[in-house]
Amino acid sequence: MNRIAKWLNLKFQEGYVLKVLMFGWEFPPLISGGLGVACHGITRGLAQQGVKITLMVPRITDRTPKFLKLVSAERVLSAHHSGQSLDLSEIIPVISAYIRPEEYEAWYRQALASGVPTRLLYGPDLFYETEKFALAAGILASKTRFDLIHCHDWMTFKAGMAAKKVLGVPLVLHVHSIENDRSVFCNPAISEVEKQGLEAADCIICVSHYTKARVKQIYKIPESKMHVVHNGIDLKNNTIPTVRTARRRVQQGLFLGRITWQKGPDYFVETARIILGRKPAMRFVLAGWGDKAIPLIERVARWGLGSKILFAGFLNEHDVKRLLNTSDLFIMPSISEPFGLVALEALSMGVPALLSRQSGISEVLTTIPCADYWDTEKFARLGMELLDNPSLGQRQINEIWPKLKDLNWDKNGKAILQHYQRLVSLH
Amino acid sequence: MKTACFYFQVHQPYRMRNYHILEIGKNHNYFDDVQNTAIIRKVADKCYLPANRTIAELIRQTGAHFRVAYSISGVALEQMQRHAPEVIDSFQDLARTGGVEFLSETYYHSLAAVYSEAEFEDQVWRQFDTVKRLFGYTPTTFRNTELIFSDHLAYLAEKLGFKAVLTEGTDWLVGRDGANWPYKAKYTKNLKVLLRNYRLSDDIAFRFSAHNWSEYPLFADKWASWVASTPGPLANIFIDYETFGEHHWESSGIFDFLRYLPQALFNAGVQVLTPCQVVEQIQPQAEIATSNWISWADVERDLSAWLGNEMQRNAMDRLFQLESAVKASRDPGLLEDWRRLSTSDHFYYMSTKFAGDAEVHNYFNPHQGPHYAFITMMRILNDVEERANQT
Repeated sequence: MNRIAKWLNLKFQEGYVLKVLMFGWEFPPLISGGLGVACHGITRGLAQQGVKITLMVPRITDRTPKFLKLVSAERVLSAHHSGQSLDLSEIIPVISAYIRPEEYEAWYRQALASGVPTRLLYGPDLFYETEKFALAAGILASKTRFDLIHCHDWMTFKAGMAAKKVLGVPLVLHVHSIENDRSVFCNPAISEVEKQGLEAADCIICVSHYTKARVKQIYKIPESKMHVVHNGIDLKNNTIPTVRTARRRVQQGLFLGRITWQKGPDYFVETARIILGRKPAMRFVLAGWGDKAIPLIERVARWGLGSKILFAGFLNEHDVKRLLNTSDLFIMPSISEPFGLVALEALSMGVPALLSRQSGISEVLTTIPCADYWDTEKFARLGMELLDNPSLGQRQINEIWPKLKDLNWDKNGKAILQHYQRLVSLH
Repeated sequence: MKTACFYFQVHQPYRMRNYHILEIGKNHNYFDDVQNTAIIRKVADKCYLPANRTIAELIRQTGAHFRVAYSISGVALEQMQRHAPEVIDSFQDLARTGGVEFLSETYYHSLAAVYSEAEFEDQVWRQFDTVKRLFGYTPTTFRNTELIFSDHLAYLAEKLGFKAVLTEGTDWLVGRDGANWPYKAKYTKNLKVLLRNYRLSDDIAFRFSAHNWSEYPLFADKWASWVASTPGPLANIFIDYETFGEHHWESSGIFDFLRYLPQALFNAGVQVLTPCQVVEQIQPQAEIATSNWISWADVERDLSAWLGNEMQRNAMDRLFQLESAVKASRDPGLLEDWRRLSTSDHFYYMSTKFAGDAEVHNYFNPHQGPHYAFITMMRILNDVEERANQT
């Protein structure tokens, strides 16, 4: 153990409490996707390690957790400007963390047209909102002392940089996804924010080696400041789930997620078509919605398979669980998936899974069969093996169970804490 | 003497509800009872009751010289019986005036004629019996769903013993004024065909309250003079009954138009007959034949309103693929649900036509668009299939 580490150990053993200023874009219950879930898990894991977190998000509800201090950016700004406090719990919770700037504009116009008062909305421009968020970050940073700043994805990068200017403490960026994962046509303005943030960061935490490699390749960031910490999952059950057997029941294959280019729903329906050629009694379900849904519905109808490949629409958390409970096969053919929390969820409920090789999760769950996202023939072949052979699926789940138990937020928090300690001690 | 012949289509489907994916195999309730009840109540109050009252008065005032024909779909009659029984009473009152002809059709207002002869016959007989039972009337004229017609339909109608069929006076079939004569259907022994004069019909059905129409406002005497000056012996006015009070609100003056209509027609020298009287009194001069299906829907006047895109064809194909399994199950509840799903409106909601027609479709659409209608129907058909295979 070198001297720094010794000193560090001493410092933290003496009960030193790390104070972290964190910036996120969504937090339960106001979430639209995986980012909010991950933020919740990460902060909880860190809190268990004794880290004191102040998390600023654009808006909050009355339902705030006890393990961290949740601050709303809007309240910071209004308090700063007028000294009055504004009740923001009624802000319309529609903004997705990954909404496209142009979609955001359309949504904003629609909300105004439908009579929603302006005071309940964010501004008309997503970039303006991230700027405003950064302004609030600077104000908040000037109020208290923090040891470290931690940001989640591009919307909060400007806030992180602003806070770093004020506080002069290390900046940690957590990359859950990058613009190239989210869109066929990358928005250059978003890419630019990502580039600036990644260059300014003292430490970058990627949710997978896959993401780390992409960040390195696309943004030319030195590997030395990038680290991988895999996300966790909250297992609902302590025992290994049993894979369903097919007797007297229609077998069901499942796609779960936004029906957008990035998630590869095209490859799911192609795979379904191949399997249906051999197993016409089966049923496939796409749960979720997105800009690819309408063209895919028409394609499936053109094949005459509309009654075999069903679209469930957007489902709530409870219904997703119920749907998983009636499924025999989960396929995640994502074109680019930084992590893939949803695959963990399927496996943890005893649904055998196939993963795209272009996903972060496939590097953790190495025993789960995977294929390149475009290789629908291989997906179909692997899928039919699992469908014909529930014992094969059961073996898959048995093998993966220790890994699932290992992927928990507690461990995630410990790993992040180590990076914190290193950064703070070197500072 | 010039003759005008009025026929009104009365129909309300059992609209589907938003059937959830997790209900497959568990919940067999496919229809939106709340919405369907609300709609039948609303249309009863705005259209059926006041229009029936007005027409009954007119028939009595004119000593049954003013006469009309109705085709009321079985599914509409069922819903009236349950939620607006006074409408049934008022139709029965109309039946007693002696100035009303009731036509027969498919009970479920379906496209069974296109897909399944056996199912078509079942649905027609059920409608035939219902009309007889409710109104004491034995239909002799047949009106297929939305005036859908072809040589095959003519063959089916004659086989079931009907004497005449109503359909659309499509330009490409009979030319501009060809709808103004009765025809005999080619390849039949003696089945008469009456064609809709779509110009005169649409003057009332569509243009009546169009403020930008050069003839607006339309008065009964002006319209009657157009009927009188039409070439040929006959003007067939076939329209949706909901034209009165629902498509055109009462404030548009549509009921006043109706009230003055008989006198205006008589003044212009036009007599009014029902379809069965027309085919008895005016002999056809020519035969009509069409191997292609025609209908009164949209500008195409074919089946494209219900089978124009892949979703519609996929859904309809699937529905009729399930016919034998549903019937083999011998489950009357399942068969009834399956038949209610055969109603043409469900497929009309899936239409993706653009421009003028799309606006019409959207107005009637209870779902959030054609794709929603399709995926909902497909979830329901999965449950139908599971039920059929269970037994």
